[in-house]
Amino acid sequence: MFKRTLLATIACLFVLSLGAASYHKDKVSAVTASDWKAGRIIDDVIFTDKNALNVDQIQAFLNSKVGTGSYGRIAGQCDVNGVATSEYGGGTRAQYGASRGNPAPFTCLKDYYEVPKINPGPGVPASNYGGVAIPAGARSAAQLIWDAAQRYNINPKVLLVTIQKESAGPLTTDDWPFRSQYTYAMGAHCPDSGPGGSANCDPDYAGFSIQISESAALLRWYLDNMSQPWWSYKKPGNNSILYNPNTGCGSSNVNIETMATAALYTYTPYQPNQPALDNMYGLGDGCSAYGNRNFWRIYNDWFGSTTAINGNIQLSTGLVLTSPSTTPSVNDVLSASYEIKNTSSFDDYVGGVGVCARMNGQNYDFGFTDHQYIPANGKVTVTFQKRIDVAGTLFIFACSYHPMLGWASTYYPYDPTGNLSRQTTIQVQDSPLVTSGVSLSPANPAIGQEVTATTTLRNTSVNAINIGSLVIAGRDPSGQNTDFGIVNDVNIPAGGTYSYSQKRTFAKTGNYSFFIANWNGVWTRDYPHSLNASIIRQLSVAMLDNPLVSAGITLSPTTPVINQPVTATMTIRNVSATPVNIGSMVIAARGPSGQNTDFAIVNDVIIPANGTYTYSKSQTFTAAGNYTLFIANWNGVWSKDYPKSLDSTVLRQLNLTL
Amino acid sequence: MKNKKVLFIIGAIIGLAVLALILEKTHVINLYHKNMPVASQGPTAEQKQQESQVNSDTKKQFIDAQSDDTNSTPAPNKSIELTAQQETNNTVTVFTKLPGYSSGTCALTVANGTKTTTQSANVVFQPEYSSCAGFSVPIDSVGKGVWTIKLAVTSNGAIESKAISYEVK
Repeated sequence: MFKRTLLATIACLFVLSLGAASYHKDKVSAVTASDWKAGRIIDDVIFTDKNALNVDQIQAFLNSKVGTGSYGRIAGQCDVNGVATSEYGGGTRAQYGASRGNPAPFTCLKDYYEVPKINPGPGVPASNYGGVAIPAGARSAAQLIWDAAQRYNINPKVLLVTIQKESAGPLTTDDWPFRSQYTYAMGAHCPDSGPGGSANCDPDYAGFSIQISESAALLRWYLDNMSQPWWSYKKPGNNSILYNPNTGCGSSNVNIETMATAALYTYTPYQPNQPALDNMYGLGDGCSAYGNRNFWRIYNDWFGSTTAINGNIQLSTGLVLTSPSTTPSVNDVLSASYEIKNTSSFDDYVGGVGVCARMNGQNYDFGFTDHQYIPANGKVTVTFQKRIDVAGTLFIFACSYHPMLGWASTYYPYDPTGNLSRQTTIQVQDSPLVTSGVSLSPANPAIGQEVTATTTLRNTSVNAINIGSLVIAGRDPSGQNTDFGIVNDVNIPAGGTYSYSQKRTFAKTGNYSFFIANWNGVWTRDYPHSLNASIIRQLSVAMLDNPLVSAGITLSPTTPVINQPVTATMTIRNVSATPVNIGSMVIAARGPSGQNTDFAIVNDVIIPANGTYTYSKSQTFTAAGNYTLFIANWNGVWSKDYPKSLDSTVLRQLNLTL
Repeated sequence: MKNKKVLFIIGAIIGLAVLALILEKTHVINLYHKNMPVASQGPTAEQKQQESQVNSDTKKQFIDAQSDDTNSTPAPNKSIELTAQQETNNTVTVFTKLPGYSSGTCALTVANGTKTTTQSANVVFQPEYSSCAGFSVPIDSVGKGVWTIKLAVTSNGAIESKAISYEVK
């Protein structure tokens, strides 16, 4: 039962496939009259795809096409020496050519080099036609085609097809071209002012190179100017288009749907009549014109469809980034927008469009609108904003998605001008920043002394920012918390600064560590970042004792003699906010035999808050010899070490010879 | 029974895959191509032969024309057509038709009484008729009234000109 069901299912699927395939079969044959849409010969996006082929691909294409045209001898080969029999009679091609003033060798387009003719003027530029050496400065035909495509944002395939439709031979496939076939190969600057409306080419534009570049230039000029009020040629919308230069053959209205089609009708202002379409690869009647029919047919035969998926959905303005400054700051709001248009006369589904961004590979998208529609001939502005919260290089681009194209940000919506920007890069500077690092005042504090810690932050954003809590944290020699005061809800105004300043005292001597710390959901020592590497974020400080001997022993006179009065002085400072009683102080002295010759003791020495005490006593030494003087303190026990010295330059002991 | 179900499912999947492949290859559906070609097959041999014959005949005519032509280009039949149109945005657009011209420059002079204004532009080539690349004259430049619009076209060292009157209301 299941087996029968399975077989029946597969059979049904196969039949459906065949049915679908047979339905589609008509669509895959060569183009026919019924495929022709006079108003949509080619879509803008295809017409202007300048990167459709590179130079090597153009060269390979020319190599493959030579000899495939009219009575081509061998596909891919040029009949350089004209050995084949002339299809026009008169012996070989070489003999026929000689009889018509163009002896062999013949130079085919794939092998052709010409010195580019930059400016219009008399003469035909030097080339390697006829077997001569490639002239200095000459460029290959493939290179000339690519150069023109790049310069004027025209698809090189369009130029190849135009050569095929405009040149005699045509050059692209001819395997024994005459020199004269190159001269006006594109029909550029050939007014229909000759007899019977025939081409009457301007000799200033003679030469293959200038024909290629001028053809591309004209097409680009047409594309760029057809919306001008003075434009009197074909443009999108309803146009009356002749069937033939002979106006007696009549015309009909054509609703031109794309600018590229309008450009083609401007370049070749005739449409094929029905006989020309009915005989797609041949001739019609006396009123037929073939230029645009051939363009469309050749393009389809060589390169496939001339229409693109949603070719009518185009960029009308490039991506524009609006920023508070050229170097925005973290917390600034950036806005990016671009405009897209629907060039068709029906409402159309665009897909998804947005503004995407990346920083260091991370997604920073501004926003995206899926399922966007644009009404017929309408426009939509795609605009999104984003508050940037990370510093760095931000790459911003117009992004798009279409079910048939997938992610297509690099080319969709299409840009027929080739000049509209889809992306930009901007440097986002960090903010807020620590512009003035950790600083203590005094720089060398002592225990009990009031110490002020400061740091300054600057916000370069045009928006105020709240960074949470800020503190200059401290750790004492044993790692205990000795933070300065925490400031919560630190709000830094737009373009302004915030100065942190907190005070406290310390009880322990030794090495302390102070650093900037921030709380904004989590503690960090890295935020805000520093303006530059010279900013001190962490400070190690030796907390001094208190009181300290700030001026060591000095004698007056400095070199006394026996029986002369001598005054000994020293100074002790107290940097704390309260007076300190340090007990008894003396400048002790020992004589030549070690006897006590101290200066007078001062008891209950009280050093005022933030003040100093100066010990100054006098005596007279009566015995000659060597003396040692030193600072001594009694505070329950005699000490030669207390109070300590402010620094190593403070003289605590003095040797004296009388 | 279970094996038969598995077999059925596998068969259905294979069938769908074959269907998708056939539809893709026959271009009924398009799963990955950017463009949907109208013609994925070239012309028939008969059509190619027909095209070759046309091209061959065209080349022969071209060669014959070159020989008959004695290398001289027929003198172009040049003329200047000049029209104007008042726009709603307080400008007057001057339209030009230059049959027979291939290149050159245009100089426009607009006069109204003692007031004059000038503009210049390049000739834009088009095979039916070339034209000057755009003249849009603000009405304020010379004021309302009967304008004398004169166009001088310089091409290949020669100057041709034409003037018209146009009333700006």
